[in-house]
Amino acid sequence: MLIKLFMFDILEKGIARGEHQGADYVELRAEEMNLTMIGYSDGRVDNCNARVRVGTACRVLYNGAWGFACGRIEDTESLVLNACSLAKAVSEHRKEKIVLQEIDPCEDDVKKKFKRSPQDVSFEEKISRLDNLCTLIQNYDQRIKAVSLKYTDSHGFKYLLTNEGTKITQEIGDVYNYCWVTGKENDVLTAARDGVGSSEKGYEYFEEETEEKIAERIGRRVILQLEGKNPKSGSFPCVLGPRVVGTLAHEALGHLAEADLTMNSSFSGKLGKKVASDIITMVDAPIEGTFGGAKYDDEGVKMQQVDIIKEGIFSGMLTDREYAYRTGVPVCGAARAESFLFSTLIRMRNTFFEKGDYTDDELFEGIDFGYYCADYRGGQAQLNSSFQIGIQEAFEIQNGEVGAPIKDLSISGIATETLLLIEGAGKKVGFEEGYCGKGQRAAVSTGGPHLRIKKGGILFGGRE
Amino acid sequence: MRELCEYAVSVGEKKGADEIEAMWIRETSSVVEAELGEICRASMSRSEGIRIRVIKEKAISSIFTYLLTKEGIRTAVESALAAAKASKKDEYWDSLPFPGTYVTVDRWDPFMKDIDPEILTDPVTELISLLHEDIAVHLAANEVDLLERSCVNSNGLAHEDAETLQAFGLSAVGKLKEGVTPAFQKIFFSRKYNPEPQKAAHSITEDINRFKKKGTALSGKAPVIFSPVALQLLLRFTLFKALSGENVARGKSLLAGKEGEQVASSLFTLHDDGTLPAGPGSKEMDDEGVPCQDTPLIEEGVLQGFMWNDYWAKRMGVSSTGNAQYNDRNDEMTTEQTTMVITPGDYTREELFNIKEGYYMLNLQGAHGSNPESGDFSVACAPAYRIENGEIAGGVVGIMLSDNVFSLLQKIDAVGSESEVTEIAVLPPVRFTEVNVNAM
Repeated sequence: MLIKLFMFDILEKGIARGEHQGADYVELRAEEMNLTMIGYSDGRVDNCNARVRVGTACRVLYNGAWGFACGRIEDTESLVLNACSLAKAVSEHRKEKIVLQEIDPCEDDVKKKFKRSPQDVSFEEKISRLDNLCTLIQNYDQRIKAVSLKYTDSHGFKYLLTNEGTKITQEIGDVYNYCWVTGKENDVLTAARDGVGSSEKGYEYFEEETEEKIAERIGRRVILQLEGKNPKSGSFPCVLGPRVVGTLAHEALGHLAEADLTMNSSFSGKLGKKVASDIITMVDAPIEGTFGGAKYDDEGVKMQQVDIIKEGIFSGMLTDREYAYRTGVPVCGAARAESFLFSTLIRMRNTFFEKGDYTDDELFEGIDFGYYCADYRGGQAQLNSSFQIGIQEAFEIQNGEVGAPIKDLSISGIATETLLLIEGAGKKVGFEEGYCGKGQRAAVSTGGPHLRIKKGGILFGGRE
Repeated sequence: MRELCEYAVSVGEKKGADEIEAMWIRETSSVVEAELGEICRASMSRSEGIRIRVIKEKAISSIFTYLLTKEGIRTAVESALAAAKASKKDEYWDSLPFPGTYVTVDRWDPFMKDIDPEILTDPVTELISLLHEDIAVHLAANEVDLLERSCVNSNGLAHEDAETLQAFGLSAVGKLKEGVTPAFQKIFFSRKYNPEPQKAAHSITEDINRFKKKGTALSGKAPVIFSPVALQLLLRFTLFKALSGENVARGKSLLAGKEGEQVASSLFTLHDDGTLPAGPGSKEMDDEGVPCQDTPLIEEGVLQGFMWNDYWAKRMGVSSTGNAQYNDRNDEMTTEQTTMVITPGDYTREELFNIKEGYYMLNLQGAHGSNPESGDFSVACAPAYRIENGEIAGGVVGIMLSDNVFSLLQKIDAVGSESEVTEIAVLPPVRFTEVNVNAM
């Protein structure tokens, strides 16, 4: 990382160039990242890939409009000129000028606390771990027919310099393991997924998230899919497990609490109003040890907790500096970019429901027939608050007891109605790590306790 | 940039690689965007790098670097070789691709190169001005993308191609007394610069206005018409995966071994056509330099074959169909469609909608969570409409479809006569006789 020594010299010249052009705000975000991906299937290494990602993103605000350009670090000054001319070209078309919420500029150098940087672990060791994981999954059950694994890691530095005086270096990185496993019995073919990772821990993460744990989890899911029955169609009382509840938090209201989406959504104008059951508190926060957190966002704002729902009341939105000024809601450090190739967007970090006071027995008590959804496979939100969550592990609830497994299904609802029908929250909170794809990819965590939802809150996409 | 690729290959050969491939890629994107009804941003991004794939004693590795100096490339080749040495031998490895014959397709519009942001801005401004105030624009954009590539490998393969693609459109909601409609999207893809703000404004206004009248959704089996966008989404995460040769070879496709069998209605014909000029996924070569081609997959309902990349084709004793796709985000070589083309049928829009009761699905939520192995899907539909007596009766909310794509393909009874260009396909709307509908 020789460039690191000269990075701010290069960026400072770019800032001067932008100010000379008359830009009101000049932001330069550079990065030097080493990334690894190992693709692995059925005992074979598909590919060992390394990527060296180096570049600069330049964003300027000129006469109330944004200009953005990205490219090579050595071209920083020309990128600034380019961004300025782009902003000038479109600024004449704006009636209302974009204004940024003021912040206190800060200088910081944030270090990672990896015990083992993934870059210090050899390809041999990483492949050996995948060999072991593949063998354990294949041996879980003879009905397992295909195992696809993917290991990724990243480690490097992001640099941020603005003409307001913000000067931050952040060491960043993560490790992630993904499995897609296929099972077959007679003519029935099915599959399940598993994804785990950490942006707080380095390769040592896999000392706690062992191959045995992953194999047990994914193997079980595949076999439950093979043995499951088709779900019924309609609305039923249900209990959602923490992994599904996290996705509910992310899809049902999380996206619509991103201020750029809120303003054209069903939650527009509802700040301060009741949107959920009184027992519900939902937050987005950079919790230590989970995916999606960092000390600063990509505008140099310190990441802070946002209480999106507080005891049923819509209380907060996620903002960047532009939308904080526009809405009058405080900045919270939610402006994130996938890499130097992208401008920032308002993104969730770790979104979860707070715990409640229901025991496990109370959550299931009194449900004559319903479903328990334990694990998810993807989800998607709509601006009218329609949400969908794919479910890959579910069970019937019969007379208050968890019963037979259910095949693939998905659940949906209208968040403005569903959130009001949550009637119980469990005492323990669990988290799930993954990636969100709102135009760009962002590492996020989601979570919560078990939640019990009344009939009418969730529609089950069944076939019977 | 062929010289850089040739340099990388020569370095690899000197350093002891058994085989080496270098693919230079430059992606340039210019876009003007509007949010909340106003132009807000103009952007230009350029990503230029070289991907080097190395084989040493049947072990494969690759590296992607943005450092395009000779020193940067030398270092990258050395790193890739070290990774290959650390990797595992693949007994099935045969070789990198050999030179082929390319179909020249006109996919380049010189007007899009170095386009002025002012030119990109005007159609967006016009589009917004054409919309009534009860329609709120979440995002409108005019984007032009340039992709330039050069591929050289140690087997004598050397080829370059270049393409332009424009995406123009918007995402908007209709304002209701209580809340908003779901987001409607209208995006037009074109190889030649041709923004059509009036067409986009007219189309989305019509869709939103039709939705504002409330329709009723009922659970049960019903005829369903999929718009081109909805059908593309559904098939992308189910049928198209089952047509991947890799998935067939690995026992992950229910279509394996069914060549020559009737797997869909006789009204259904599907090709993967990488040579179609208008196709957004069409290219001269795939991501390992193999010529793209027109591959029949399903003809009048009968399965003809599968899509292959070079590795899995050689392993299974067939030829690559030019479907290697390097997933830049995940850094993996996969087998994916180029441009999927469903042959249009005879049905006019009026004829297609001529059913007593049913639904028209404009877009889907959650298709990516489908199970590609089993073909089972369970998706929410938004926006969606109720059809009664051949007319759109109104918009419906809280509606889902849960069914199996392989059984559904047998239930096609009408294929529209007009195709649309979507993100990965060129296809018409299609009607299915009986789909399992879930309603709250």
